[in-house]
Amino acid sequence: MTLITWNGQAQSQFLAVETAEALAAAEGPVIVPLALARAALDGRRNAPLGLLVANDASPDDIAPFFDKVELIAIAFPSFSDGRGLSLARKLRRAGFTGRLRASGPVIADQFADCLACGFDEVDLPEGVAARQPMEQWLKARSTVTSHYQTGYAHGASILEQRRAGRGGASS
Amino acid sequence: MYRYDEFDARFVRERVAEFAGQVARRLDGSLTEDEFKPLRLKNGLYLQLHAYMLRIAVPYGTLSSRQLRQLAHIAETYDKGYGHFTTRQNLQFNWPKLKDVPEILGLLADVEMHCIQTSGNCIRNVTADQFAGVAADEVEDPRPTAELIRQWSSLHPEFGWLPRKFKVAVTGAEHDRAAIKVHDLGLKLKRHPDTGEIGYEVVVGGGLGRTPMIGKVIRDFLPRAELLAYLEAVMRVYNSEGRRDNKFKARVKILVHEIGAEEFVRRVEEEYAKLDGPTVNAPVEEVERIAAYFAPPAYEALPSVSILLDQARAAAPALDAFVRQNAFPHRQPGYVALTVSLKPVGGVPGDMTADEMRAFADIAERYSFDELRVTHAQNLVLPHVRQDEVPEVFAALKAAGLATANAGLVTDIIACPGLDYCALATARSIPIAQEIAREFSDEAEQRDIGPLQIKISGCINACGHHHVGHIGILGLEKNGRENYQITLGGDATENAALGERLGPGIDAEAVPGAIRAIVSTYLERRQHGEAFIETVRRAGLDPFKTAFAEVIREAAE
Amino acid sequence: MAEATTRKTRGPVLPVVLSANDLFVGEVVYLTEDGWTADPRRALVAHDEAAAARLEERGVAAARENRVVDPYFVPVTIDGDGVPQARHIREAIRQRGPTIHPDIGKQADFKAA
Repeated sequence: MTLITWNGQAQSQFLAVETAEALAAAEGPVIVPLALARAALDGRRNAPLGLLVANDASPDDIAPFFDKVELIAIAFPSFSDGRGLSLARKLRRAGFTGRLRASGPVIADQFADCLACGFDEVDLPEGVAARQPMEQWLKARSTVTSHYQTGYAHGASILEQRRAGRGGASS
Repeated sequence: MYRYDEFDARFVRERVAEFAGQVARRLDGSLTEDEFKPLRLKNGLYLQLHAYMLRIAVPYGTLSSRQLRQLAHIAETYDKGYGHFTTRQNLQFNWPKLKDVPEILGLLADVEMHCIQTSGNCIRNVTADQFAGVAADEVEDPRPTAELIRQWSSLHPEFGWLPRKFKVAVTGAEHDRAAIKVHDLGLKLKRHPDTGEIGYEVVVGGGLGRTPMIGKVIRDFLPRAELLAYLEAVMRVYNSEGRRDNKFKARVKILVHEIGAEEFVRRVEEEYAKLDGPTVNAPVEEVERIAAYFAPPAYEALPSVSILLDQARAAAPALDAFVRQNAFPHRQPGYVALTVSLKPVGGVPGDMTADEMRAFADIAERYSFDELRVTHAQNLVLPHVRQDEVPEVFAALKAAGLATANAGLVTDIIACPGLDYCALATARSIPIAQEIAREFSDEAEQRDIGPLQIKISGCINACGHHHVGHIGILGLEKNGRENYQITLGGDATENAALGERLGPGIDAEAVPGAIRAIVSTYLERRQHGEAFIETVRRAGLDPFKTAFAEVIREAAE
Repeated sequence: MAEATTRKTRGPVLPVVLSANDLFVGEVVYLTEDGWTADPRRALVAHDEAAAARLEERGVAAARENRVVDPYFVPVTIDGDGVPQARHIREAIRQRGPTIHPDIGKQADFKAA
């Protein structure tokens, strides 16, 4: 897996584990499926914990863990499934302030949108990563410099910039 | 009409650069075809039966002469000299090369145009009443609303990968010419019955295609200022919960149908209560800024009746017929809107050559405040013509071959490109339209038959809107041959209804005769000047089914 | 109508040609002995399964090399002039051009001499 963050490639410290046995055997930071979250917390392991959630998971089921995990990874089964973008928005709105990761075959052309919806990073399978090196992600991030929609993490919207231009910046 | 400011202009230029980069990355293998396809679709580029096809957005169907001239230039330089206006008020070129598309997009940006979201699983180009700002029965011009939605939906970071496409239409009039009930989301501007405040009736879940449905009202009255936040709530519910397991069940109409309108409303309202409306919504100054662009042009104060036009009509039957058929009353005294038909008998519905575009651009510039409209019936409109100048306009249109006096008549046929161009089509549409038009080429007969909408689709996806044609024709394939099903009684207006099948499918050669039999049945049964659709509603389908069965029986002999 | 004269249990209805679209231009192309052609008359015809498999292999390779898009078999009959003619109406229109525009498309570009 290849991790792409806002300013480039990074190394993920988290090990993805899928079973209770693997969890028991793991030493360092791990990402566990939502179903194993309780077990991981009860184990009181002294290492950072991440959650892997499906893109149709309910924010209400995830919210109890917001202040107990460092990272939430939302699975993208395919790049053309946009549910993860809305889930990211909902988790941010519900108050999650930790790291938010898009996990799956996202493409570089979606990087800016992922960041705008609240993601911090993308964890790619090797196929996409090999075809679309980090430079393409950074370029795709900054090709379109401003957007119309207000309330997303892509800087001041065009509507806000127009308002500032009218001298009505405060609101 | 709307003009780009520095932000709009830069946004569109950056989008061109982004697409140029995507093309380059497709060619060098960074993007697979599976990845590139949705990216090119979101920029209006299809791979069709013969070649790429580029669909250019004509937001809410409004164009200037300068824009139409640029389209003519593109048609000649990069295509085969013509373009095709679609049922969603857009323009398609049928033969562009991928390598030229970034350049074409640059030329479009030069005249404040683009191809953003004219295809793909995203919020599509917003359509509106072609008589916006003209019609007397209008509460408010729908175009400022449509422009606000155009901007808000463009490259939306959250709603670019929806379960399926999402089409929005806006009307400001009582009589619905924008077919809002058969869109994924329809907005009708209205006045609050008590306060008089302007807002929207919101309709969701209409659509044609393989499961045609009439939309449901999900909000009787949405205050104008709350529009974008409410749309965001609708889109978030659809993006999160629309079906993704089957592309044929992925439109919002299926979600609304499966969970019920009431439950859909509950989920939207629940989401709406959670989101930060004041942040999402456009500030009132922004709404006013956009609306100012759609202020009426500088009309002259004129008497409501033009004696000059009346005299000219009395002296020239062709002019009289044209005005009677193609003129639409203008709210401004002394003016009229003229529908310019792109349906000459034997022509290709919606096609326009580069020469015709240039001639028409000149006419619009000189006689209609430099503005023209595209209709969902694949025609054009000169929205603001002085009645005194109609004779001159008619002469100029005639010289350009654009004076066909058949707006709304039996030969004013909507047809999708069909199997002559489309990779999805199962049968041809255009030759069927041509044959029907030839069958009814007599102008006096057309006028006698009166208003009658024939709509033809070349496959079940229904781009030709056959479900809502007074007569609908659906081309399918049966045993390796093209086969056509006829439906009757569809309606796309505020009386929205889906047509019903008259009987089994028939061969292409039998279609004009079948339409003739249906029309004859109407003529025999009509009462007191009833229009075709009114007779169908009153008399029901049975007499038409009988006539149709007779056609089938004769064909079998 | 489109019943096979030579029907095998697997694979396409023979004979076939292999068609695709040129990626960079979009034009309909057909595989020949030495590359791709826009001229349907020059398409290489596979009369047996082995020949069809060779066409397919070359088509897949060309798609992988980002030269063409969506290569697929087009069942044909061979007319009196030895020219492959698509059996199905969709492919026949694709091979010639829009039926409503005889002046446009391959039917105009490659008129028999």
